[in-house]
Amino acid sequence: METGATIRGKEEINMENKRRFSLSSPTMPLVITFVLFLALYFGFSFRYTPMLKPQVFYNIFIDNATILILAVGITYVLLIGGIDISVGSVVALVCMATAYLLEFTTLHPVVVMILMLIMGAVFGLVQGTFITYFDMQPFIVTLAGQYFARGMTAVINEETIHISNKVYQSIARFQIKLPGGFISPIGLLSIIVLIISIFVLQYTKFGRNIYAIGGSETSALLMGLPVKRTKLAVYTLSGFLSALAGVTFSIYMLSGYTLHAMGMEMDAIASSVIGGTSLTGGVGYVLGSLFGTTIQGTIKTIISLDGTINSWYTRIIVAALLCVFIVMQSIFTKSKERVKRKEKSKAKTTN
Amino acid sequence: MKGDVILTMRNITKTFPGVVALSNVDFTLRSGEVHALMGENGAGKSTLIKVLTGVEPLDSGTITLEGKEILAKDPNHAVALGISTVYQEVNLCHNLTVAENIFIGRAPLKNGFVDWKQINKKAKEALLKLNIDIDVTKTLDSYSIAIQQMVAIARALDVSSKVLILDEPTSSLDQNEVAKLFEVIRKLRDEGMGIIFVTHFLDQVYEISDRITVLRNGQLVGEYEVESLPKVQLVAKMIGKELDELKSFNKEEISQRDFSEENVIVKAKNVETEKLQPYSLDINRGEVVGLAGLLGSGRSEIARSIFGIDRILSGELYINKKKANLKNPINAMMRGIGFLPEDRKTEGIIGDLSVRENIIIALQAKRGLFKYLRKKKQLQIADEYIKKLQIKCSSPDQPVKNLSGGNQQKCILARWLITNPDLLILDEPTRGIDIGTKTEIQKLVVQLAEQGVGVLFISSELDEMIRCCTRIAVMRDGAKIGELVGDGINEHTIMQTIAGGENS
Amino acid sequence: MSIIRKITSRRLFWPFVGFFAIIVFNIFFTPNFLEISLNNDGMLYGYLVDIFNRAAPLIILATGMTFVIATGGIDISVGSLCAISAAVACYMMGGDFNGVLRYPFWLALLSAILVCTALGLFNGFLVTKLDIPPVVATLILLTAGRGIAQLITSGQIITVYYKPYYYIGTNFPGIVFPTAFLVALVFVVIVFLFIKNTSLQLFIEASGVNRKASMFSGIKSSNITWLIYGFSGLCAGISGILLSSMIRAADANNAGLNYELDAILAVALGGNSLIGGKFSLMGSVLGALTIQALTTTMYAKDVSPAVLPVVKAIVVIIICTFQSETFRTILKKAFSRDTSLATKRMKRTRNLAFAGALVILIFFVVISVNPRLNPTFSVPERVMLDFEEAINVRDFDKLKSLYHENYVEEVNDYVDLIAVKDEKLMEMLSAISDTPAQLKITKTRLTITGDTARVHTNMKLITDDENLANKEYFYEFKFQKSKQAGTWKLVLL
Repeated sequence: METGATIRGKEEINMENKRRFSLSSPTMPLVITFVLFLALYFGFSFRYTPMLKPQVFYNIFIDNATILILAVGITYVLLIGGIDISVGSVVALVCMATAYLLEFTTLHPVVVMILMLIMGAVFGLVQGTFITYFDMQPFIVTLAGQYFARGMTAVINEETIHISNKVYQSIARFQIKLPGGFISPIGLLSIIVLIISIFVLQYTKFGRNIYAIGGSETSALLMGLPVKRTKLAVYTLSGFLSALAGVTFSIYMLSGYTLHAMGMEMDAIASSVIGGTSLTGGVGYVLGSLFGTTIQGTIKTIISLDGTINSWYTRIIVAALLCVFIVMQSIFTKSKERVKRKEKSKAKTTN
Repeated sequence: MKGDVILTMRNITKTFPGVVALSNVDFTLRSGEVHALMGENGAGKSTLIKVLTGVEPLDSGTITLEGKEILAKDPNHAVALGISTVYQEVNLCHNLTVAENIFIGRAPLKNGFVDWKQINKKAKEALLKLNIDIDVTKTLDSYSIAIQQMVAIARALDVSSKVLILDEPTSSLDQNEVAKLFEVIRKLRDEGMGIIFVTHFLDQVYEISDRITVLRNGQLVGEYEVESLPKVQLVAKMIGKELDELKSFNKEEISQRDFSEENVIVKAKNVETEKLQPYSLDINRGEVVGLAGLLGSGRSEIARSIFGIDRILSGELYINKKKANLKNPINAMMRGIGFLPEDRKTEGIIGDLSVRENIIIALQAKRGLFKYLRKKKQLQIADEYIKKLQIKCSSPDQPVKNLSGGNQQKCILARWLITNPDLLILDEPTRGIDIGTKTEIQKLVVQLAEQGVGVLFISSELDEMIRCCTRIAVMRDGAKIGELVGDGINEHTIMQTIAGGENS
Repeated sequence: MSIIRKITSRRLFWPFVGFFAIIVFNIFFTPNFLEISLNNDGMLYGYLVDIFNRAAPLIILATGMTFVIATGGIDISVGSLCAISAAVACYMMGGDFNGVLRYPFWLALLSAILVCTALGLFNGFLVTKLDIPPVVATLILLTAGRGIAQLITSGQIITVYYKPYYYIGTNFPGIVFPTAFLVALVFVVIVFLFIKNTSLQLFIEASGVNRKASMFSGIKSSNITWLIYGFSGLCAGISGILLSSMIRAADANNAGLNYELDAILAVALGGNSLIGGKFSLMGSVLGALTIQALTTTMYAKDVSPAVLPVVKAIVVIIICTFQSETFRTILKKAFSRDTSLATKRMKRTRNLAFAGALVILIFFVVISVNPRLNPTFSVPERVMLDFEEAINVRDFDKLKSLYHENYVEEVNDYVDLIAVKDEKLMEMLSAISDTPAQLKITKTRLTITGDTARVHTNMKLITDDENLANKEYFYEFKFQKSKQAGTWKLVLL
């Protein structure tokens, strides 16, 4: 027995749903962050007119390339519902190891770079194994990883090693011409990593599996997705991208130093969260990390242009923004649950 | 061919440590039929489904699909074989779009990359097949649970299923949504699909199914055609008479007791909660009030509303004649109420803690942080009750998770007895417990009543309720539909009330 | 047999073993390990004293962390909270050279503790009322904490000259025991008595094991958890004061750095599960002592302190792996007579992967600890020079402001400020080489903590003698501010 009329889903979406939808749609945080960035940048450019110069704008990308790559990497991990706080220390480790290898061995710079990337991937793989196959909590494993990497950095050398390698130095000085200024290769690299990641997360099976697993691991399992493999791959990728970020940082700083990238993992996580990535997983766009990073970069620029405000205010403001976004996320999730429960009770009473 | 047997399960046996979940159960499904699988908690219906879909391995028995013997190794294998399941908890990803939920893991690719155009197009087609027309590019959680279930069904069907299992699909739906779901089910049935419909809603079973299989305590009670099985008989088969190994005893004393206003402990007046329709109920000292009804009828919800776990939306609750505004369990406890929850594993025992600690914990919670019961006192109390209730444990310091189910239950019972409650709520106190312990607990209930304690007794076994209770309130679908006293307390009347007045 | 079983199955057995193993090792391999004497300030002095004294802040911190972890949570902000505590205390005391306080002593200390407790309650609020996962909630203060501390100290390192503050870091006149040790002792005793005489341990453990059942038994788990985070803040407050009093300064950058892992490690070493549930306070205390014993051993053995975080990380991972149910199941399967082929194959692959990862880890450790093992790395031999004569610092404040930039890179800047006596240099050179040579400074590192400055300078010898030219020379010396403002005296290392 078939009914002629089809069931229109639009009936299901009543006014309450419509309102709810527009506030908690996953693209909304992205839009908010983008608007926040524009407002911040152009708002303060009235006070600090150098901000309107193109090169100042480009500098944000040059100076924060490392953080951007880290933020992209950590977005993958956050999307799958995990966390990785070792990324900053991997950057430091890569810088120190790079400097050491370049200054004290005869290895070719390209070989060094490749070695670093492999090391990063292996590091991520090991962490991922503990998290995925032994069901250990990600923050403990990556916290230990952070200490391990930082420790190894100092073990390699406690002093600063300056990189005098010609190849590195020429990359550092190279300028890619843009209208009104230039951007450095590492800035360009970070943008390329971002674009590739946007593509991977949107158009590959791997990327979509990440979203599914982050949304509900049990459902993903029941739907037949390769949960363990994907999680392992994500942590490995995170290690790889951290190493890549480390390579860019070593070009930027031209040195290895035990205190490099201190707290950079927090900057990366903040960029990602402010960019709309949920800390519980499954929600977020990697493009948001770009805006999160540029917001941080803008704050740094404003502070340095001002000259009187101290630089550690950056961390405080970023942490405050982070707090606001985390709290907002939590409130939205709770209100969504409340609406769902109201729906369920509505069902009960009409039965 | 429609009407041919498509799935058979024969002599299925499955045991878990300490309990036999299924014992020589048979099940038959024909193509083009909706077959309801029914039974109370612990009857084994979810285990049967798990064994069929490869979630759990079976101990012995055979399963054949379209004549060929099969054994699903895991849920994916089951799907590949043609057996799809739609669970009560819609097991989809709420953050993905509708279209993606249907196709994730099997997405159509273009040059190795996800082809969104195709996904959206095919998803729309799949849903239209079910007469659903919605925007498939919106995320799943923009839609109601009813639509989400349809999406889950669409996903299941897209893998060309031969058997579709619907596990409690209507628990979260309202009348209109149930009607729409049934339209879809009828459509699929007419197209030749075999559908297993697991539910506890009697009326729905009669509305949509062709056949019913009833399980009880892990055993097959029987397979029946819906048209030839009246409701009362169905209820009887699900919760009716068991082998009576237990002695009956004198109930005259109880019925002679005075239940006037003075003796009221709890008075609920039109109390409404999220899950309950407004109900009114009085419980007196020395009285054992039973709550009868099928699974999901709201019995536990009544308990939770009196104990301060669920919030009261409207109506009034009086405890010992004073109005009560309970915000959490400790409020109820301080007013003299105790509560033995239904699921002792997740809500009752604190596994890693010792027997002693589990026993004294409610009393300690009442005393607060500073009036600490020293270990010596704890041991004294624990020993007293271990002896009184005959709790079998190697020592009071043994972790309670190592005890058998029956002994765990006794621990929790002891926990509340120590608090000297005016009202003790027992939710399925004898579920999953051996006969001997069952008798002990029932005797204890009657003893408590004799001592003046009020008892609210929830059980799916009519037998023990009849034995212990002096008054029985009957629940159906979240509402209290009647009360039985005196002569009315017999199996027939109770079941009839639950079933809803159809004469056999 | 059963007596041995009884002893080994006691909660505190393995933590005890860990601690005593290190002590015993030192008794054999470290000369004068057990020696305790009195130093110039009338304080007990010696390796053992050092362990108990330096462990004090960690013990207090580990106490708070034990409770937090028992409720099923974590607090990674404690290190930053220590920095804030130090900053508040030192700011309120002020850095006046003559030891004049800006605010009363007791007020400064109390404020520091109260501020940290309030921040801990903030963490608790996020966790219990907003249902934010503890890692995330405490991440906020981890990020912002040091910045806030910098704000309070205005970016400077505030050195406190108030005498009693010194006494907290060392000992009160007339009392032989180090103050920090006493504080930790009293604190642990108070907390221990509290949990033995109240139902707190029962409530926390119940909440950690089964929150629902606890709530149904009348325990207000939310409130307890909230207070516990506040308590963790309190512990960080006290720890921060002890830490800063040991260096008589508030160093927002370094105070309590990396301390959170130490606290977590102490809890884990104490036999407590990091997932929550039953816990033992004394276990964590033992764990903290073990970590400090390990640290002191490494210093005594001249192992580079850089290795320590690596060792700690590995130990945490090992302990957590053994605590993981999945791993234990795998172990059980590995040693059981399992006939299922599929499990065996999976086991084999997993073991291989694990072993492979372990090998790589060991490889890294080995080549870093001992680069000489690897023939492709050529490390110049490092020779330390002795430098006895006094050096003058002309402008301490300028030096300090350069340090504010965190690193003195330009050798010239610093050479300006420190006059090196040329004859001494010549003398040194002639001692090393017969042929004419020049010392060229390659890099310098300056570290100022409190009123102590350390200078580490690397130099290369420019000479025809190849043997000498390949070596890398360095010297390191310490300055300490003397009573007369502005002059520094060289202190031998």
